[in-house]
Amino acid sequence: MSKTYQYCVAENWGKGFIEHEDSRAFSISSFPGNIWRVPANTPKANLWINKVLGSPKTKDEAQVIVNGIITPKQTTWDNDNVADETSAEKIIRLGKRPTDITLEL
Amino acid sequence: MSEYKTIHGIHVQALDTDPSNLGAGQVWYNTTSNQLKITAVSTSGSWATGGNMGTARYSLGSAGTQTAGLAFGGSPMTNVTQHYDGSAWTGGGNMGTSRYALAGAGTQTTGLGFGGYDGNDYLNATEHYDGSSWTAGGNMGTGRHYLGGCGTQTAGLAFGGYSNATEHYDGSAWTGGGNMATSRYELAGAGTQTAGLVFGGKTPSATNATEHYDGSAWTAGGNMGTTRYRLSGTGTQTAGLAFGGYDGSNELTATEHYDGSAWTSGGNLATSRYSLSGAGTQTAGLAFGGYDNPSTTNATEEYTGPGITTQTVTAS
Repeated sequence: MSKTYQYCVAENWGKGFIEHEDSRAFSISSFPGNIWRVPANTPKANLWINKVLGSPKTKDEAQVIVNGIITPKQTTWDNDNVADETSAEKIIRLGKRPTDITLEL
Repeated sequence: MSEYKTIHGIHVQALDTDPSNLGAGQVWYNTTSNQLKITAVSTSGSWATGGNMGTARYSLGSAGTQTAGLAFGGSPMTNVTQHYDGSAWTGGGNMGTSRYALAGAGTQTTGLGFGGYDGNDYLNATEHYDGSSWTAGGNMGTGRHYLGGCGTQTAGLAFGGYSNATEHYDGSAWTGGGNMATSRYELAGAGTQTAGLVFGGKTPSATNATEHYDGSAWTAGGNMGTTRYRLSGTGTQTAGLAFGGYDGSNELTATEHYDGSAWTSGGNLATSRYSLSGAGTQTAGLAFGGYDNPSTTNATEEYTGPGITTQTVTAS
């Protein structure tokens, strides 16, 4: 099956990391762990990965990095309990439980 | 191979910087970057990254423009203020009261913060910013949080926040205005005291409803394409911008433009998020902070609306 997306790890340094010309040319999405997703087989997306010194990752490698950020936060959320607190009260106190993210191929 | 001059009868200009006044169909060679560039018409607008905030936070207050932005308060509970200059954030004066889920209005040097939650109470307190320090203003009639705000330091507007109540600020005191048709919270707003705009939020179910304010009464506007809450907005009643938010399942990247009667889709944020804040206009917007599952973000993005844009010609 051909890939729709490609992934890389890159740290968003701020101004100039994504320029208007980049986002007009192709879609760019961020995920936990400094994971960025851009279209596969797109020359301008490949150039962007080079520009941001992105370290290419397979979808499975990127998924491991994302899970490595989310799972500990879920565990922390699950273990942070107050006696007699309802689930609604817990969400008010902590915010909603961090949710799983499934990357697409 | 044909040359450009042979086809068009003119040379491609060689410039050391990109031209500032862009027109449709321009072609030039940038001798600094060694790139061939052209102008193109963007129909949807686009986001680019800006400088990261020093303090990641969500449910914060905001004011100002894309090149003179102001962020204050927020969660984790803080009274920190930061200024944006179009490329970087720097520290400003701290608010007198730490709070989140507050509203803001005005500019970077004449800012207004009001309402919110301090961990104990829903606040009616107002503070004025002069570019370096905050001072107390008049109290709202109703303490509230997750409200909307717009206008200026001397002509502010507060609306919603688990309420349909509207209040007008004159620089020293708040007075009652017309009630919104829909009581809501976690909404977004834009515009002025006499030409206000509210959109999205919870009622308590999520809504895509828009209402217009004329200084005394609210009337229905066009519905957003994406129903959402904890979104951000900026602009005016006839040139509004909505971005980010939460649809009950996912953090959103969606951006929409309002023309006074209908919403249309714009370019997507790179970082999906809710409880973000924003400033600026429909054609030069600013998004910052918010919650991006599973963390609070310090990411800033700058919006350029539809129009003539520069593109680099690449060979593949």
